[in-house]
Amino acid sequence: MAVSRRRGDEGETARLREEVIRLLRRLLEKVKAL
Amino acid sequence: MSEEYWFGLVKSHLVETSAWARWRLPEAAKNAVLRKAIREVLLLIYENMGPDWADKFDWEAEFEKIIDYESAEDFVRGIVAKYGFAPTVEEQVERAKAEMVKAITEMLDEARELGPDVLREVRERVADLLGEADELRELRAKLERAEERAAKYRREARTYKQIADTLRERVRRLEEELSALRAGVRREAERAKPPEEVEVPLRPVRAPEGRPAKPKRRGLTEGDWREIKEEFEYLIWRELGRVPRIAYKAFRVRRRELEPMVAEMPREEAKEFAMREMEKEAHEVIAREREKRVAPRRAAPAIAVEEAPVIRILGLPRAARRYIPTWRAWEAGVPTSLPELFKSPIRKWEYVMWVDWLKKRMERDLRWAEKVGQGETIRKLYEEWMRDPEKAPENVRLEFRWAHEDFYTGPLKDEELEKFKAWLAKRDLSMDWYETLPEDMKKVVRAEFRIYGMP
Repeated sequence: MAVSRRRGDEGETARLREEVIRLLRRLLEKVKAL
Repeated sequence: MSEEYWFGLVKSHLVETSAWARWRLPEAAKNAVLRKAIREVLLLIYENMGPDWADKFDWEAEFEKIIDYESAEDFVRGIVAKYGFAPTVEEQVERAKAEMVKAITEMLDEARELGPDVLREVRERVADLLGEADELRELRAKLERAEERAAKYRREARTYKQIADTLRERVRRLEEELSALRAGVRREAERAKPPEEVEVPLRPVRAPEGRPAKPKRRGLTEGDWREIKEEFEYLIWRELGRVPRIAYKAFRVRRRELEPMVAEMPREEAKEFAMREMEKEAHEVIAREREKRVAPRRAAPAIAVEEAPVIRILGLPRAARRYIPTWRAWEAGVPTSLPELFKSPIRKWEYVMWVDWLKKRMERDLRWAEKVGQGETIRKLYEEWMRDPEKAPENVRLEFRWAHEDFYTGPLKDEELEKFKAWLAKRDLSMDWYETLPEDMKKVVRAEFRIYGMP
């Protein structure tokens, strides 16, 4: 149970990380285009 | 006075002093570099000193050195250093941009190390910053338009400065926010190798201010229309040298048509669209006006040869032909005009007047030159001109003699009459001939007599 929740957390973190990276890339593009 | 004006002034000065010819660049490049430098310097003056200072700036003297620089940028950097100006807003934005790009790239590298709490925090902040970046981009576009306008119309200088200041401030804030975020991320990334260790929530960054997204304005304001109208009138004026009455009517009609079309567009887009449409309209007005002006043009009336006094002049000796008006110059070779005469070297007997006049002019110039720490340079320049009138540029000589226009061109005094007759006679001319001349030409003859024939 604990393990699966841990996995679920990891999945959530990975998703979050992807999102942050995507957002940072977008910000990078926007700043470059300034 | 606009960019165009200063460009004309500086260019003619460079041509006169032959610096233009010495400048080792292709002709088109010279124009482009000069124009760019003039605009940059004009905007710098607007940003740093205010619009009125543009008149006090010694454009001619400062720009004489442009031929020694590799590019407009280098030259402008020299001016910035000399006058202690703040760097241009463009330059500041570019510098801030480089910093921000670096910070974001580093954060991208470190994102893999971050724990969920920090990631959440970063996500919030970055989403916020994205909005700010968008607004900045709009502001930058606005600045570019304001720059165009400020270069054309001085009254726009204040608007330009306001936008430039806002942009500067906003870019600085974005940079600060990013670097704070960057510092927080770095700290956490170092600490949080195993995700469990992320206990301390990231709080180095100010909490998001939660700026609610403003609903974007739609359609155009009265101010926007005014701006568009001004642009419209300018386009026509530039081509025709005036704004015909039909132009105003065309604008009104077209505006009525455009208004419903742009009512639902976001403001920026609407403005661009309306601007483009009005530009087309302006070109139509210009074309129509040109057509109108060409159509009724009749053949020029033949010159009534028997009646033209100039024909009598043509029968006179060669020495007389130089006084023939410019419009008959093709018959007579190069005519002498007052400006040409006034630009000629200062004669020895004029020296006292020359020095007196220069002293007055120097006093006037020193008033502002000392304010900007240029007093010594100006004083030296004037002293050089006083010692050696040859060193003064011809436009200064021209100004000097215009200042004494009455002295040179005024009616002949009794005591001058004999000398004048003798001077004419020496050139095979007579008093009778002189009397046939129109007053303008008489003035030229008298000026030439006074400069060359008097002493």
